[in-house]
Amino acid sequence: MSQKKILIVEDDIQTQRVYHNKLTSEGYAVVLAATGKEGVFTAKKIRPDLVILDIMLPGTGMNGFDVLENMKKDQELKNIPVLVLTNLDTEERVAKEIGANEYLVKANVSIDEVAERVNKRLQK
Amino acid sequence: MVRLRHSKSPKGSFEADADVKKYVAQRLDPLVDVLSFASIGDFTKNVHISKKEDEFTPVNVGVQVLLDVIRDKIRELEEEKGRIEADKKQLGTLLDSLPVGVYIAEVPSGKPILVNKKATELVGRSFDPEAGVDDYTKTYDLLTEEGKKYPTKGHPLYITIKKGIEAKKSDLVVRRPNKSLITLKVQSVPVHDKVGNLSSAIAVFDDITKEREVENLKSQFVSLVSHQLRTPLSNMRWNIEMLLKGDYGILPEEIAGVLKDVYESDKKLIILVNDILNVSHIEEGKELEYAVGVSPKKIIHKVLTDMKPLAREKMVKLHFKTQHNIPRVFIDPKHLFQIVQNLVSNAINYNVAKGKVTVHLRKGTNKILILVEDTGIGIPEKDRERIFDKFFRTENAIKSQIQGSGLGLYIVKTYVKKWGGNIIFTSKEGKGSTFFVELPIKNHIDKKTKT
Repeated sequence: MSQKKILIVEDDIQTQRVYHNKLTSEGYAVVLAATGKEGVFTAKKIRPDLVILDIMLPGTGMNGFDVLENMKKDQELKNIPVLVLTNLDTEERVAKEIGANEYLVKANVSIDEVAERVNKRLQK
Repeated sequence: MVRLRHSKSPKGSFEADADVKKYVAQRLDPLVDVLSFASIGDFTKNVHISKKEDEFTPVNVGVQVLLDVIRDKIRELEEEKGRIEADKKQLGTLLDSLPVGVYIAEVPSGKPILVNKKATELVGRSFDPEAGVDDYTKTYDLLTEEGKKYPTKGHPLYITIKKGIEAKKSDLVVRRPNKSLITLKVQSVPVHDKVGNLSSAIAVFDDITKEREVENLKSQFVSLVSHQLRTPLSNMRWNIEMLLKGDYGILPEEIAGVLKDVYESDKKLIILVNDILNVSHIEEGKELEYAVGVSPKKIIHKVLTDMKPLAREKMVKLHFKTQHNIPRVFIDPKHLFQIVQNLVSNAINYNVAKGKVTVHLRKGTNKILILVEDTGIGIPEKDRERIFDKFFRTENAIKSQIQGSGLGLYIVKTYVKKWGGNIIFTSKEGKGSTFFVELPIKNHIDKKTKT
């Protein structure tokens, strides 16, 4: 079975690195995107098996919600599971309404929990 | 006595009658004068009472006495009126000198009986004597904070007039004729007459536009700072977790020990930031709940697992006693987690070495009961009333140098109330405390409701 691809859309470099280290050690291929635009572009290009999405993404005027909406409009991307991982705790309803599969507050989950959710979604 | 000539008149009886009539008329005329003045409200004329008594004297005296009494009454009434007017003027001056708007409303119409200067100033227009409680929104251009028409039924005076109870709102926005917007805090109270019937309603209102702006800025700041704080905190958490798990190789025991301390400090900081954020959300009224069927058992297990290191550090033993078949509760899992986490962490933090914390989970009629029992320092009698207040900390907690923000129980109570539950406690200083949380199994709050 080929290696599953995870796209991480996250602007904070240290956070990117933790995701990368944890998920590669779990056996996934990890691709990083630091802005919303880059996220959508990369998603279209690599068609990941799962996306980890932050909400506050400065720079390109595209936040996590925009990325999510873009993905849901795209026939080829709309069924990819999306885990929203953010430190905002008031956006759960909106995120789920747009189609996020999970909403986790980073500070309130362990990195193992993150990996578990990913594994569960990808049925590893 | 005057003898009527009639009796001994040599003339005929007709002439005698005429004489009598003339005499009577003569004697009555002055009286009639006085009475006709009286009939048009002039009681100033006096009856002439001749020194010589005759048949008319008692009538004259009687009328004069009556006049005197009436004059006294009138004077009394006028004095009273003067006093009332002076009182009214005083009240008017007093009301006008108040720094808050006052509107006294007629019941049940809600039309104004009395309005002070400040009220007119705040609303930016004079009050319409014909505008009743159903017209306030239209007449005074009242809006909600979102800029929609203010619902008539939400107006404090409406509530007071219809239900006879006190009402308070701090979200009433007035669009003045010059289009400027001000936010008012309005409090209205019922006034009852001697027999307890609602006789009027008084609304007192104040401009809180500035306070609102400051509050908003403050909470925006708090939430910004808290979110920015969380990013490095969650990074630290995840990195230490991976280090401790050996993802980067096995660590020497000593280093692992130090890292565990760093980890616990980081988690404490996360909890504090969470508390500050939660309070800020509560105050913004922006708490967005996401309710689902939640297993209280699972949540309690998770909290107790999370709390193990803290309990170990404080040398406190954790116990969990649950009944079977505990039903799911319809609640936001984050909130239930917060409720249990705050109660358990208090029970550990305010405990004594070798103390014990027992969480009981029980089923009641249409509700569940969570008891958190500790063997800690207890809550002093005098502090009990304020224990759920924001930032409040008991004297013995401060003396014992136990760290805490004073936010935990405030959050717990807010959440428990929000989901239609109840919280009470018993405590004995030096022996321990037990908190009882009751939560309804089915909740009336619609899960789609955004508040």
